[in-house]
Amino acid sequence: MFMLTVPVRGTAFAVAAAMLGAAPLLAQDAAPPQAQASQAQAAAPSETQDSTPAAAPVPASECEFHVWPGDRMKWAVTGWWRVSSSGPIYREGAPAIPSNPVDAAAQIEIMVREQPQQHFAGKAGYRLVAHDAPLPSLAIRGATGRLSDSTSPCYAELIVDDLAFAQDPFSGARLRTLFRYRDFGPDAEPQRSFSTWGEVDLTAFPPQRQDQYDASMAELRHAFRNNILAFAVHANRPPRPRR
Amino acid sequence: MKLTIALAAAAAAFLPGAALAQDAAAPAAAAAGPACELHVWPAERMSATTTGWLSGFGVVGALAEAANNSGPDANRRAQLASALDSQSQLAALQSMNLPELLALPAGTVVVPHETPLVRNTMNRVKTRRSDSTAGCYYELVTADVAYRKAAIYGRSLRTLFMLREFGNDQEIDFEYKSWGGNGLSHFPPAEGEDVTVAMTELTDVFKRNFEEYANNERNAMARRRR
Repeated sequence: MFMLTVPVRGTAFAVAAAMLGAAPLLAQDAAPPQAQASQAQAAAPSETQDSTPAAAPVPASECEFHVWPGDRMKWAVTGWWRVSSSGPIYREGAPAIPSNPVDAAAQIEIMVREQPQQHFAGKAGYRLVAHDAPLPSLAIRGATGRLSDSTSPCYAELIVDDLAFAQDPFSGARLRTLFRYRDFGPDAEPQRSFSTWGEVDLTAFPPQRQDQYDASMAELRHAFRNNILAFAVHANRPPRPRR
Repeated sequence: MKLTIALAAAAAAFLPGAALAQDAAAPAAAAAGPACELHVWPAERMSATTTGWLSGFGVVGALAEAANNSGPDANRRAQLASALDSQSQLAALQSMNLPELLALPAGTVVVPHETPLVRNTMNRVKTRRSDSTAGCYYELVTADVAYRKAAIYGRSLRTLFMLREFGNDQEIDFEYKSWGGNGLSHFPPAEGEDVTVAMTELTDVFKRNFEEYANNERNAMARRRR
């Protein structure tokens, strides 16, 4: 069987998304992230084919995409002379920054604005349901069923499990976010689960001077948004064989 | 062990002053009184260190290693802190029978503390770290969690645990501190790979490290009682 392999990574993902309208066949092969939910359900995406072959089309308005923010940001900062797990290593004159610069409220604001479901294959028409409070890590990792009491016939969850700021003298700074994505379809248990880290390099955060503060915080929030997109790219890929 | 304790307790009840009871019934006697407490703290400090073949080439080699590995090591430190956060460490420890593994008196009550102790006070502070005034009191502190990757030995997770036994006061009667370490085959996950297996492996190895530590601690405690 002839298979067309498309490298879906970084900008290639955006190119693939832009090609959807012009090349539907190619887009189907490469998992259409921008397809409307109703179209996706009519076409029955491969991940739901196995378990719900005879599922009747459900109006997209009944589908729900639940999101939860993460708790406190973790710090993994390595300087020339010391390491820090509680915040950045400040230089003289650098402004103090909050210990949790992308808190739950900021994450939800970004996700509501970004509508992350649009970037997940077959979930574009889903209604976003944002939960304000972070979940305890044990509840996230030990969960076997839906984390909300929704009985929606097409239901998916995106959970921010962890945010981490990592920095070292040689590689610079980056924001890493651990997401968990669970697609339930109509079931009580997930048909598919996937979790991995998204990583985006930072150049302005942490700020070195007071006048850089606003720009650096904006960069950090933009990095969180880009982490969602990077994660969606990974989640849309077919499962890889384990090492 | 439980059988031994039960027999010793029975002997102590029917044969007052018997040498057998005096030797073996210390835990049983404590169990008969107020319940002992084991206070448990998770680790605050995570570290990740990768050393390759260049580390044998002096300062230049060490610098080259640092330049090559400092970024990945910072990422792994963040991953460790996520996979083994305080809640996960406590859950992993509490999933085991801590009093039995550590040879503590039967019926010891486990009291978890979610906020880690400040690492550099761990050795310096020699008194009880909680407000408890229990007459039979133990502390189990997870001091360090360290990921190591070496050119020859491969990847491993090492964990430093410390147990302290206090009498009916603020004095340490017994202390045992030791590393446990076991190999890793899935952690760290590759870029974009599902991390579930790697994170589960970290928790499993953390528990194996504790079992290894507890085994050594039991031997040390037995030597002390002899």
